[in-house]
This record gives sequence, structure tokens and C-alpha cells, in this order.
Amino acid sequence: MLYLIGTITKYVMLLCMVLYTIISFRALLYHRIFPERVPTDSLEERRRKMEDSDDLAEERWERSYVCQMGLAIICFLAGSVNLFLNHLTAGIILRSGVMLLFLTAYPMIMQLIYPRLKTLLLCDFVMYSGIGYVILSRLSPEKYAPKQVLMLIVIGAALMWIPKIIEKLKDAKIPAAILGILGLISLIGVIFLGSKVYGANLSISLKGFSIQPSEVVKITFVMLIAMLFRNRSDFKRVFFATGVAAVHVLVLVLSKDLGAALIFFVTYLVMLYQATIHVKKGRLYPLAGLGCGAVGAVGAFLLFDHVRQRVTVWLDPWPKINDTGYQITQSLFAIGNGSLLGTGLYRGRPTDIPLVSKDFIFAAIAEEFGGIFSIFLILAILATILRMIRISATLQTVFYRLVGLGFATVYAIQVFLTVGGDINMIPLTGVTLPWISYGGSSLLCMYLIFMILYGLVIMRENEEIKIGEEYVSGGRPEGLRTKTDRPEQKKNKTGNGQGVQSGSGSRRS
Amino acid sequence: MSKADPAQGEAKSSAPKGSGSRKSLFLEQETRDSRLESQNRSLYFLAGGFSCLFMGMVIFLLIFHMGKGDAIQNNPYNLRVRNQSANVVRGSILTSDGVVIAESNWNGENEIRSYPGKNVYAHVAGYLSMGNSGAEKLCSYYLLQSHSGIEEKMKNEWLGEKMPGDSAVLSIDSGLQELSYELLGENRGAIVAVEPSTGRILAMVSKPDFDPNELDQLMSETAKKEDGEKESFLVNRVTNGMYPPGSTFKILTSVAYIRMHPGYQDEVIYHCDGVFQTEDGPIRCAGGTIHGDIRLSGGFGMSCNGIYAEIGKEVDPRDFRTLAEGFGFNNVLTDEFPVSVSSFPLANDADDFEKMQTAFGQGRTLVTPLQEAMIAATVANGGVMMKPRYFDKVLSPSGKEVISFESEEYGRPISAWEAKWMTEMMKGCVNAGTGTEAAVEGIQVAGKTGSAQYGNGDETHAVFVGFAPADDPKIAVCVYVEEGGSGGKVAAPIASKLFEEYLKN
Repeated sequence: MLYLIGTITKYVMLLCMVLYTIISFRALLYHRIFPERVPTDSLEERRRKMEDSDDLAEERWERSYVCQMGLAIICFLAGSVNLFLNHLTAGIILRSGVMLLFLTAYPMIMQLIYPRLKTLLLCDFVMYSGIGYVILSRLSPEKYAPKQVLMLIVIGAALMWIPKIIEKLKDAKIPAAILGILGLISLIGVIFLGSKVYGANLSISLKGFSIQPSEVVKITFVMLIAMLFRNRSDFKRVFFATGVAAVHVLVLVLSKDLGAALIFFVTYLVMLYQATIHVKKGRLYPLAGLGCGAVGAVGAFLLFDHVRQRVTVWLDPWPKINDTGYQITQSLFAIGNGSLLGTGLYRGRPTDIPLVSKDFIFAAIAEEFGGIFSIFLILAILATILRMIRISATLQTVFYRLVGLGFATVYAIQVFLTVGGDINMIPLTGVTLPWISYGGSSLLCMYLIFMILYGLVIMRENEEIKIGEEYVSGGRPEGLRTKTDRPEQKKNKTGNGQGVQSGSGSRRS
Repeated sequence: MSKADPAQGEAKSSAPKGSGSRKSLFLEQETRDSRLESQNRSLYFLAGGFSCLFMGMVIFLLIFHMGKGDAIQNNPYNLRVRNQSANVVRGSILTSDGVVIAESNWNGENEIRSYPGKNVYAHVAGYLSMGNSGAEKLCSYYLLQSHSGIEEKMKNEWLGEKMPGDSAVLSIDSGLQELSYELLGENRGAIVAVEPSTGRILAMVSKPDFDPNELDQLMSETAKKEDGEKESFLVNRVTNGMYPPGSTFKILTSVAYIRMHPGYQDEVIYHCDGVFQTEDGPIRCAGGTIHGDIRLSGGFGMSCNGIYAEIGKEVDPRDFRTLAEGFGFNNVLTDEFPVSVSSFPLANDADDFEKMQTAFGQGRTLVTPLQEAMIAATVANGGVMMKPRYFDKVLSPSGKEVISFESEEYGRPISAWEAKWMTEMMKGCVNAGTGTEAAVEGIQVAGKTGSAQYGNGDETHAVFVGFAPADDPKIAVCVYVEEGGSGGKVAAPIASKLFEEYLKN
């Protein structure tokens, strides 16, 4: 009987994951379509058309949101039922209950506070932290799960006000600069104060709490670079920004946190590419950056023993199975054992993998939930990243566009490094899987990223409402219209956004 | 709008000062538009880049699952295999005709592994204690899987019982295996039979042997013995015995010679007077026989050492080594089960004496009996060498086939024409040479005898390699009797009986 329920819940989770991913990608295709501006329309007519288009957008969004949220919660419930079957204790029931309450209530509370927070990122958050809770409870119900639940709730509650700040913030320049510099200082601080974990200086311990500054510095770094590129991208500025990025990367290399160094490096390259795309010969900058990266990689390979070791293990882990290749071969055993459909919760042996709760959580998921589930998880995360990029594409302010893109890159590279490492596609870098892996610093980082993106979504909604108002009221001086100024353009193209800016421009003048 | 408005950025630097006028505002607008446009295009490009990265992971993962995901599981470091024994009763091992050679019995508390085949299948079945060996190791992962039906799984889950494991079917033929065991008698040595077209091992006997049921007891007894005798019965001589090939190596030497003389029609005549003089001493034919004027085929059939010594001087060691390595010398024959690497150490600058010694199979060349059988099987299979294997398929507890393993080609060390040539020569050896005792009535046998000298004395190991029927080979064998004496008198008759048993039943 238990076996039957276990198997059914496994397939329910798989089905939820697959549907979730499909809906997630479908929702990416939706964008708001503004009605065509017909000069003869009366004010009344325009208002009606605008309301219709608003209703359509609202309806589509609502449908995707309800479906995805429902699937995420069902997936979580199926996983929890499976946990109860195998490990029925008061603690686990209590925690699952608290978690269920949190996962359903948190997005609702966020939407109550921010009525304009219309984004499917809320569902992604519920889906991933739900999966994370289930797999961490399975790995160690007493050690990881309670702390993870506690941290999810505490950090989530503490950071709820971030979108508000962003909405209110008139000028992000000074806060971004201050935070960026503080971040860099804390990063340097780790070299001197940090405690060694697996041969690398990663964290600072304070009264029992240990925090890994590189996780939070990812955020301040992205903001700092976006601040530098917000209005200039000439050679001098690129030179300066590159210097700032190089200091970050070098400090991380010195503290032997190569995974984080790689994340910072790629994020900087992507932001540099985006910031200099309109500059003449701007494409040379990221190319030069890639060149430096290649030189740096070879240098790291020659200089550091542990880099060489990881590369040799990556090329062929089997001869070193009882030594340096132990981790990755255990991970491969787990993934292979799970096969496509997975063993089912508690029926695999993911606990054989060292560090399974952090760097190798993906292998544990692949073993017990199955290959198909893990593939759809990768795809769902891809949809999340594309959604982040789309948020960034619909914004008007260069600073926030760059921030959004930077966060999407951080997330993407981090997932690529950990998943790619676990399946031995690339050498291991010791990076955690965002939202799912155990760890407070990683959670804090992801919460910050999501909260700031929520802020950006609200900002975009505000902008859109302005566009709508202008459409209805007839807009601005005729002389400012340009041939690209077509309000009926799709929402995620920037053309429509001009209305706001030229409007403000005219006010300014 | 905030001061960080992009309009103030690039636009300002490019637009003329005094942007208050309508004209300049218009310009500013244009510049900013093109900037945002290009920025959005680059965003789509980046989104495409991330998508490629993630699709790369998905494809990599899919390939992993389709490819080696299962194959890597059978590894001693994978505790999943051992862990399975908590849920699954280890399955049985069967011969191809269904004789059980290893099974597990559940007595309510413990699982007892027994080997009904006893000594006969000792090295085939292997053992589980002290590190696995044999089929117990080869099939370990599959024996602990359970492909029983869903209703059976439910029932066992409900009752809290262990699942019955899948059983492994080997390619071993019970009749041939038992006969081989019997024929080798009290001798030390090895017998291996292979199906030439597939590389499936049909029989594998190694002596001294042991009873796997009493292994623990045997081990404690041997612990008390002198060092020289320790544990040698555990060695599977078929796969891990390293022997001088003796005259059977002349198969390779002949191929090397034919290859050197394209279109060779057996025209060269050699005169043998029993002793071939060299600077380092005389080379004699076995038993001091004087063969007189003979051709290559005759020299092969009668196993004349002189003619091969002559050939050995002529053959370029480089070509010789390439040929030998094509058959698997200095290489791994298969990575599925442990086989010692047969060695052919002839160096490019070897002196004539070593070249001559190597040519008729004395030298420093060492082979495993399995390697010898594979040489015969390759000739039999028209020059195509198959990978040796003895694990055929996996059956579910209800007897349904779960996995069936395919044969793989190892390589093509000799051409079809060379294989045909060698078949003729080997037929000659059995019909009118040293191997007459390998003949079977009504079946044309092809083979080669060998009497491999060991140590410094005149004593020899008796060897026979061959296959039958010569025109449509179904079985290739290698019989290696340690200290057996003459290959033609001791090993060939055993091969004859094996051919008869396998082909007539």
C-alpha cells in the first residue's frame, strides 16, 4: 500500500513539474497588446479599448498564475505525503504544515501589499522552495529541514519591504555605490577573518551564524556595475568598471572561491556586452574580456593544484574513484540509478554523495524524482531566467535594465555551474543550486534577487499604467512623435515606452 | 524622472547643447530609440545564449541516461548495489540451457547462497566473499534488480518481504562445461570453448578448482599452507593464466609470412634436417624429427621449428607486433571481466635468436588460453574477431527477458583471404599432421597443436587450438594442459571429444 502511494505521488510530482514548465513557457509568449490609436476615436472609445486590452492581459496573467501556483502547491503536497509515508514524526508534520501555510500565504501577502505585483516569479519561488524543502527533509529531516524552513520564513519576512524602497527610490546611484563598496570591503574582509571550509576562505562566523559574503556581494556587485554603466559607456568608464570587476574577481580567486569568481566574471561580461552594444566597436569589449578569461583559466590551471585536480577528475573520474573522483562518481551513480523515472522518495541512496545538501542536491533530485523531472526542472529554471530578462527588456531605465539582466545572469550561471558539475559536463566548482540547496547565504542572495525583481515588475506596471493614461488622454506635444512611436506596439518592445519618457522630457523642457 | 534617466546618457553627449529646442529633442529621441532597440536586440541574443547553455545540459543529461547511466552502476564503490540486497533476494545464475549454477535461498532470517554446480562451475560462477569474482561479479548489479510484475511488487511490499531478484543467463553450455571438466581430469590447466561468430564463451574450466560452497573453509586451510601453494586454485587460468603459446603461435607467424609475400602460393621449399643451427645454439624440432624437404603448409602441419626460425629472421618485428596487437596482445581483450593482457614483447631491434624463438612460440611471448581460443575463433570467423563475453541476458523472476546483450566486434586483425588460407593449413594439420588425434568422424576439424617448453627443461605443456566444422565453424577451443607433454597426444584428443559432444548433440 505504501509502495503504491509512494509511486503515485512520484508520478503526481512529475506531472506537476512537466505541466508547470509548459505553462511557464507559454506564459512567456503572452504580452500585453495596446489598442491601435485611431484619431477619430472619442475619449470614451479610447477608454473602452484600453480597458478591454487590460482585461485580456489581466485574464491571461490570472490564468497562468492560478495554474502555476496550483501545480507548485500540489507538487509540494505530493512530496510531503511521500515524506509522511516514510518518516512519520510530529516534527515533520508540523514543518510541512508551516511550510504549506507559508507557501500559500506568502505570495498572497505580497500581493496584498503590492497590488501591482503581477509576476509569475512568485510561482517560481513557491515551486523551487517547495521542492527544496521536500528533498532536504528526505536527506535529513532533523538537520537541514528545520533550519531551512526557519530561514525561508525569517528572511522572506525581513525582506518584504524591498520592492517598496525601489518604488520610492528616486535615484539609485548613491545607494548602489555605497552598497557596492561595502560589498567589496566585506569580500576583502573574508580573506583575513574568514574560516576555512574545504580549503577555501568562504565565510565569516559571527556568534554561531556563519555568513558567506560572496553570496550577498553578488547583488551589490551587479548594482555597482549597473550604476557605473547607467549613463556612460565610453572607454574611460569601461576601463574603470573593468577595474572594479577585476578587483572583485581577484579577491575571490585569492580566497580560492573559484566558482563565485567565475559567476562574477561572466556576469560582468554579460553586463559589459549589454552596456556597450550601442557603442561603436563595443562588441570588442566582451570579446577582449573572453580572451582575458581564457588566459585567466589557463593561468588558474597552471597555478592552482586544486584547479588542475578538478580538471583531471572531470576528464575521467573513474581511475580516482576512491580519492578525488569520489564525489562526482557518487553523483553519477545516483543520477544513473534514478534513470528517467526516478526511484521514488526514500528509495534511492542520495545520502552516499558527500555534500549532497548543497552542491549535489541536483543529483539527489535526479535520483529520487527521476531524469525527466530533473530535465523539466532545468527547463523551468530556464523559463524563470527568460522571464527575468523579459522584465529587464520592458524597463525604461538603463540602470534597472542592467540590474535585471545581471541578476538573470547570476542565476543562470549558478545553475549551470552546479547542474553541469553534478552531471560531469563541466568541472566541479562547488556552487549551490539556488532556492533548492540548503544554506542561509544562498537563500538570502536569491531572496534579494527576487525582491529587487519584484520591485522592477511593480515599476514596470507603473510605467504601463502611465502609457495607458496617456493613450486615453491623447498624450503629448505632436512635434515629439517619431516614426517609431507607435503605441500599439507589443508591450515588451521598447517602442511603447517612449511615451513615458518623451512625456517627462517635455515636462522637463 | 530620476537623474539616472537614460535620456541623459549617450544621448546627451551626442546631441548639441541647449536641448530645450524642439529640434534637438527630436534628435535626442531618435538616438535613444536606436539605443534601446539595439539593447533589446542584444537581450534577445543573450536570452538565446542562456537557452543554448540550458539545452546543452538537458541534452547532456539525456545522453547520459540513454548511454552509460546504467552501465556505470556495476561498480564496487556504488553502495546502491550492496544496498539492494536489503530489498531484493539475489537472483540465480543459469547456464544457457537453464542449469542453475548459483542460487539464493531464504530461510526466513538469512539468505544463503549456494552453488549446485560445485567444482565444475567454480570459476564460471565465481564467489561473493572476499571480493567478488566470476559471474557473481559480472552480473552483480543485475542480480539485485527486480523486474517482477507490479502486482507481485505490491504483494511483497504489503507483506514486507524481499523482492525476488532477476536471474542472469550465461552463454555457458552445461554439457560442454561438464565434459571439459571431466576431460581435464586431475591435470592442471585450462579449457575454453568459444562460439566464433559471437565471441560467446561456451565452456570455461580451470584447474585446480574449488567448491565455492566451502570457500571459507578452504581459505582457512590454505592459510596454513606453504606460500607457494596459496590460493592458486582461485585463479581462473582461462582468463588469467599466462602461458607460452608454443607451436600454436605459428598461426600468427604464418599470417605474417603470407602477408609479406602477396599472392603466396605455398611454392617455397625448405629443407629440414632436424636441427637448425644458429649463432646462439641449435634449434631442434620437437622430438628430434627430421622433416626433410617441406613447404610452409607442411611445416605448419608437421610443426617444424626450422622453417619458422627461418621465417622469423625475415619478418619485420614491427609488422609482427601490429598483427599480434590486432588480435589483442598488449591490449585489453574486454573490460567486462578481468582478463590478463597477453604480451608480445618483441622489440624492433630484437636479435635474430629472439626473433626465431618468437616465430615458433617460445621467446618471451605469453598468452592466456582465452586469447588462444580467440585467435582460432578469428580464423574460423573469416578474420573478424568478436569480443569475448559470457553474460547473455537477464530474466525477470517470472522468466521474461529483461535485457539481452549484443555481441560486439573486437576488430579485423586478418583479411578473409588470410583466414581462408589459415583454415586450409589448420585442416592440413589435423588431417595429416601432428593434430590427427583431434579429428572427429564425419566432421572436418581445423587446428594446431603445440608443445610449449617451460622453464629450462625439456618438459612441455600440451596445447591444442582449433575449430570445427572447418567450413562452417560453430565452436573454437583452446585446450591447455600444464606439464601435459605432447600437444598432439594429450590436448588434441580432448578437443576431439569436445567437438563431438558439442556438434553431435
